[in-house]
Amino acid sequence: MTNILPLVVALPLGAGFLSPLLGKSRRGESMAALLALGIGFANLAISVALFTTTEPLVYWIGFWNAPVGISMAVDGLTRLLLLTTSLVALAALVFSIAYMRRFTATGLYYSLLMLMVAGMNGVIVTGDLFNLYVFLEVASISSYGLVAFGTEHEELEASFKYLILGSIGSLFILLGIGILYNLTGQLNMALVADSLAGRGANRAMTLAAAFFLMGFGLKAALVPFHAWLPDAHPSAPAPISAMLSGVLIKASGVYALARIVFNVMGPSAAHADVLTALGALSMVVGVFLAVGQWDFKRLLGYHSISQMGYIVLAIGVAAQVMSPRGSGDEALAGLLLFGGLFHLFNHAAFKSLLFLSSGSLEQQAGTRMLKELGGMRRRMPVTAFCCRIGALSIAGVPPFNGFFSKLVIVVALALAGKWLLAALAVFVAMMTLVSFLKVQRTVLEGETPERLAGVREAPYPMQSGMLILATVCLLGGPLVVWLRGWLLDPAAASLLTRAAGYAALFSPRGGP
Amino acid sequence: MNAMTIALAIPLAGGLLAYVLSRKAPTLSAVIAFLGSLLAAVFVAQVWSGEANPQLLAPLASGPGWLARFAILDLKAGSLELVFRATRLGNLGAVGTVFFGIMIALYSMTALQSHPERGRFGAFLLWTLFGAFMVFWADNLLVVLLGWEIVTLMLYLLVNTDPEGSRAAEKSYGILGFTDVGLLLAISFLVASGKTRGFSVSQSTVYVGSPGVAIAYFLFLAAALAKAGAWPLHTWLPPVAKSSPAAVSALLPASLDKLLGIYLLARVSLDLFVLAPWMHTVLMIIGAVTILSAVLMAMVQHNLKRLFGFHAVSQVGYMVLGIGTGSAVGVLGGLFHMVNHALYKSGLFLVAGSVERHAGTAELDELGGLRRALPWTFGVALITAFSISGVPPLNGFASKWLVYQGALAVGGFLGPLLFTVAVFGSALTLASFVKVLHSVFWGPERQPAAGSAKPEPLGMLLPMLLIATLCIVLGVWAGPSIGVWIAPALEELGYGLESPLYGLDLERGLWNPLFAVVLLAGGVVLGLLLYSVGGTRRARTVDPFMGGERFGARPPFYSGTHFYVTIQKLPFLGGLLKDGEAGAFDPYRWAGLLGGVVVGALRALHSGLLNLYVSWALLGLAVLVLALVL
Repeated sequence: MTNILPLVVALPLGAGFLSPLLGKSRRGESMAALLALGIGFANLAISVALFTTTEPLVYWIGFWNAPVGISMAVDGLTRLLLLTTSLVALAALVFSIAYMRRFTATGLYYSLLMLMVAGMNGVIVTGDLFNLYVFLEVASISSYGLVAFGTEHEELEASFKYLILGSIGSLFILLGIGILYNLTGQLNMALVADSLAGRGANRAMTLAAAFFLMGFGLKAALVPFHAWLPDAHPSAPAPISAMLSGVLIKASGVYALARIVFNVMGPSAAHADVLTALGALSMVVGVFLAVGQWDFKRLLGYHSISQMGYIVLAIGVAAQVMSPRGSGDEALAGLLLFGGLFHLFNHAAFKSLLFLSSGSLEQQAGTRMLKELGGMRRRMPVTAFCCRIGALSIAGVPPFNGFFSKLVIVVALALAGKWLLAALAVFVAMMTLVSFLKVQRTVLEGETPERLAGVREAPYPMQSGMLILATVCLLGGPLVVWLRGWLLDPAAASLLTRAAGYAALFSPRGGP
Repeated sequence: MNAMTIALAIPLAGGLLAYVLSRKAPTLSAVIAFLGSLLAAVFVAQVWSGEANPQLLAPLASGPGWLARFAILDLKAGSLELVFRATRLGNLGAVGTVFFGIMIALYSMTALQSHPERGRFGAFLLWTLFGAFMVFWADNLLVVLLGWEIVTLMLYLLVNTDPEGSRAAEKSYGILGFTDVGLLLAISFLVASGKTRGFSVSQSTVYVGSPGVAIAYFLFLAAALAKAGAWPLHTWLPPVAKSSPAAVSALLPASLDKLLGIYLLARVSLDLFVLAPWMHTVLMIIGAVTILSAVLMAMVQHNLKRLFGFHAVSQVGYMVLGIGTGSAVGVLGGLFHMVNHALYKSGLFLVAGSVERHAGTAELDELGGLRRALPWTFGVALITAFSISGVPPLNGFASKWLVYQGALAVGGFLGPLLFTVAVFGSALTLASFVKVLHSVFWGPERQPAAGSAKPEPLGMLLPMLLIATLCIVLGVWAGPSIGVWIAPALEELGYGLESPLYGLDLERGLWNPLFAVVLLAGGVVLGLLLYSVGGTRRARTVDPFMGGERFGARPPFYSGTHFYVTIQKLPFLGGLLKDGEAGAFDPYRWAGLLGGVVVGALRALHSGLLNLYVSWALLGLAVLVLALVL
């Protein structure tokens, strides 16, 4: 099982470099698409195969042991993130087959997309801090390219802003890693955790923590580091928007942040307070900005900020409970983490679904402005059905998956005694509902404008891409008890082990 | 499997089937909706009869026959589990739900015959039944919430079956969704602070002591009042009534939403919470304000369905007032009025549907003289209109009578005031229905604009007649009806039947409907005798004239829409009504305006300048460092 682990990075990385070599002919580009699709299926298969065991897995690259070698480490959280990424990537790839027909140089598109997948998977599986930075940059730089893929004025401007802000984030992440390396002389995360566990808080660690929170907070688009997202995510082609909002901000933002705060530095009260504040702020500011939007994809982008707020809020309060000043109630922290990670999974499904359906609408109706659409329920039934499922899921309406994760988060916040935050979470859920009621009224319901009378349903590959994710949204709610058992509770457990547990699990003892 | 789980499963599975078939075979979907509700009724009846049997009632909490238990989500302080329990109050709601489900499914098979979305209508109807059963039977607060939200969603989807309904649907979901999430917050608070035993409804009693618990109660109350459509959360109802098909209005805002809202109100106020006295006063005042404000708005409406919508709000006031009194007779009146209102108001909406089908419009200005074209509809309209106006001996009077008793029993200054408002509201309702009956059915017949111009088909007539008959039965035999349907629920809520019930003993008490019917009939007969014997027949008949000028052969038609223009011209009240029509008292509109200000301010900050964004990020980093160091 351990030996297939490097494939999650190697396969897409190889495909990324192979695609441009296939040539610019129609046939070469089809080959690139087919190759990417194959890798998408293979990645999903590998991530599912990783669930055959619940044991932690470690792979040493080139069989070099620490401190020289680089490890890949798999625990519950890694499994969850890998599965989420592969699922969304597959849906986006299937959707791309038909959607990308209107672009030229799609070979390059698939190449960049594969590099982004390789980077994300690398961030998720790596057990090494510097390696994490490298993969983070691989994913980020390919996403800068993908945002600019349309090469129109708007896309280039968005990509430029994204590039500048993203680089600032990466810079501080690298500085933070440098500080930790300076302190401990290690880059392997388990060894760093082990080394840090012995000493008390010091100024250098505090500065590193601030750099990580800012850097990864920027990648996760938390307020006030969010300003790039509403430009970048809507400008990319729809399947890329789905990948960016659906998984990239989670893998390179929330996942890395949670891993470092919980498993490397250990949750302290100060970290927890900052995370909670960032989460709550993002949740509220994001939704207010979304409510006022009339551009469908921009609206979705702002909602990503708001929904990331939920995830970070839950994780932050969990850190508060687990911090030395907290109650140390493992069951409560576990419930909070379960809620946050479930919302992460759900958000990946419904936000990608919404971006794909926005792409389908834009392609078929020629616009993504809400005021110019209408009555699409009767003209594009499958897209409308999927869009409706996504909208109801994100709005937290039962029986869809978003309801259950918000339910868990609100109840867990109340159990932690955070009444105000619970009330805030409920208020934001309500605002999200209002915002998506507007979307449904203007896009799906009402009379069809005369100009759109001839609009037809999107081609089958696009429908299939959306239906994959719609199924996840539909079944995610009723199957929550089952998902929790094998997917979410193990993921929460890997954060609950804190730094000491992580170090004990993944420190090199004797070598491979 | 027991009767209850089957009754829950049928509408769920039937709805799924109807939804899948809705595009290819919409007629089949409509038939499935009808058969599904009929089949569900069989099992609901089993639950009802089993529950009425005391041997089966005892082991409800643990017995194998009546309890389904399946844990879905463990939430530390309790778990979201599918626990269902038959209570008498819940069974009353479930029986009502399945009855109206059958009636509306039957009605809509004909009424929506040519409607493009009749298939989806069938599916949503069945799912509505499913959600309502969940609310009525669940013994877990989160399952109640699930069912509650499913019904809200179904209302939204049902109203959206009409392209014109999209704005009304959005508004209804905006208001109901707001109170739904409030419900979630209240449940989380109660459970997390240990006021309830897990999420259990039956094993929890919450004493209102701290402000937090009071807020939780008011969040429950808001959800119940918004669903039932009481002031000040009623503003979704009139637009929904106006712009959705009459069958939808008859199903949800007229009947099921009342059953659900008042069920929750009673369950929460009389069972789950032990209220402080001032909360009763708040409830009663909400009831009184609802009665008066909505009926005044109803009087000045020009659209038949919107007018009915305002009456659907006004009548909720009687239920809230009755339950708010907390006395046995008041609660009895409130619950009985819930049943009666569901009957006559859905009957009225079905009448509106029949009228609209015939004339092609529901605008009162364009209607008139339909008594000849639609005689049966006219008959049903008369009965239901008299019933809602509280004319004896119909059912609306019986329950209002009990509510009056309850209001008077409050005593002090408040009691007589509430009584006056309730009676005055009833009188205004009658006045309003005089206008309706005149505008729609009396006067010379007008040419239909776009409707079918055909008499009502049997499929639509049957449910209307059945409902009208029940309006008479529940009025004339009010005592026995209460004994069978309402008294058990009242007993379960802890109101012993030994307590002194003013007028409850309807056969011997202050109001004896049968005796009154005899007297009324006698009066009518006497009047007819006088009419035939006396000289009234010698009246002179001439062509109509005005100021000495004759109108031609065809007499003019005076529409009833201007009957109460006087009210609009009153100095203070007229202004209030005008503002009300413009949405000045609409919390939904105000929330939207307020939100717009915040959004505008935030958007102004996002100017798109990169250097601004970079400075935010760096400033954020500085604050982070400070926060971590300090």
